[in-house]
Amino acid sequence: MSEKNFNSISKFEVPQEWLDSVLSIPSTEKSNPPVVLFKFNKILAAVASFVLVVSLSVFLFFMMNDDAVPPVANTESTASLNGTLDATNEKEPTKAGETSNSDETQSTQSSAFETVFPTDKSEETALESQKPTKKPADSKPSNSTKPNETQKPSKPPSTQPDPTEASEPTDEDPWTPSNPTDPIEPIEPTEKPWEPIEPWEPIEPTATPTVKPTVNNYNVYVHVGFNESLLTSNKKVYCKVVDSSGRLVGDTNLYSSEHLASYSIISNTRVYAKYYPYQHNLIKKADTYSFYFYNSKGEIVARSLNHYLEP
Amino acid sequence: MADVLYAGLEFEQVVQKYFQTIASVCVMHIQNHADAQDCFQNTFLKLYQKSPDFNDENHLKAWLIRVAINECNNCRRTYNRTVPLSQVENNAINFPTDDESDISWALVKLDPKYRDVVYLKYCEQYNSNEIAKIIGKNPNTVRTLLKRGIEKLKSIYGGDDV
Repeated sequence: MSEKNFNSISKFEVPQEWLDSVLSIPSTEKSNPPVVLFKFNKILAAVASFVLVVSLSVFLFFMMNDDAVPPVANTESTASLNGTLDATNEKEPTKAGETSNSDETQSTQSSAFETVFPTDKSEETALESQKPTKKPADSKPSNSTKPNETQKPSKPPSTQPDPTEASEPTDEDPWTPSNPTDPIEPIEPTEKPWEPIEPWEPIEPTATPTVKPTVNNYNVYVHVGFNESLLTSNKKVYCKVVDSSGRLVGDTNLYSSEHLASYSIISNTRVYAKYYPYQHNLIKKADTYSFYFYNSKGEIVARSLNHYLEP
Repeated sequence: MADVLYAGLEFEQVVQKYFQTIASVCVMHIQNHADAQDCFQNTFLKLYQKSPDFNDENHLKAWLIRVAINECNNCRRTYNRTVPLSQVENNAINFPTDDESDISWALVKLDPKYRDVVYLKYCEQYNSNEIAKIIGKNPNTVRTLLKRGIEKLKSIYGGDDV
């Protein structure tokens, strides 16, 4: 090695531009490194994950608690809320001077609530304002121009309006008398002005549903593969029926036609084996049966257990 | 930054004193003008940016060589896979083969793990312990690498006494 050298490398002629570029390094101003967020990527990832989890939790919390909010249309819950509100009002201590204003106080307190959950009382008030024919005698005050029935006999019959005139349609308000001194007999409502909205209740089944399968149309399906060529192939599939005690039902020859099952296709790719146990009158007593599907080699390809069948 | 001294030397003095060594290391590792220049620049750029404390000039030189080797390794690892072959051929550094005593062409064909040891031993005249400190390996490992590297180098340039 003493005769050899690496002069081409050790005495490599460095281009002048290399030196110039290196010597110009101090002249370039040393700028402050920018604040890069990826230096704190772990902290950012942790914070982002926390925010994501919290927002998802809050979202799921409110989404799952939709049932807790009473629906406005549900009169039962509204009634219960009103009852709660009334009970709350009843519990409030009342002074002697406030007794006369208790209704106004309650109505004032519940007005905000009624704007959200209109009570029956408010509905009635609204309906009365729109449909004056409902119970006019009860709803009208005593000093109004519409007399109640107790005042009716005291009025002279001559002051009552002519029935022939009353039968004619007029544009005047029937409640506004032509003469303020003349009482007007209230018109009895001919039909029920409005139907109360019945509270919605879930229809409860009157009888428990029968879980027993339809006897005459009970096929046992098991998934045996995805290859549709099974439908056209000569590979046969058999089914043996075993009752709850483990005894074989039917012919002891497991490859007889009595045990022969058929292929069926339910979805696009899934191939099922189908067996109809009532075809050969195998079900002779009510019991829990299990179905074992096997091929011509005796290998179990599928099974379906615990079918309660009745003859 | 003009006041910063590197083992008692200013930046320009460091460049003037060690540019040949660093350029040789870069050329030995990367036989491409552009990439070798990048590594050459990055080595001194890191010196300028990091401004580490050096005990003496030997420490400074060893640090520069170490950084240059690392830069070359990084450059090989990242750029060589994406540079088209035509560009490599245009910028390739060719070492003369007419001089039989100059076996630089054989050194660049040597495995990189032997190349550094052989270069530092026979070009920079470092001993095994100093080489071990520079490349961060055990001195005995360095001696083994040196011995095997020489054998491989002989087999490359066709020495009969392998």
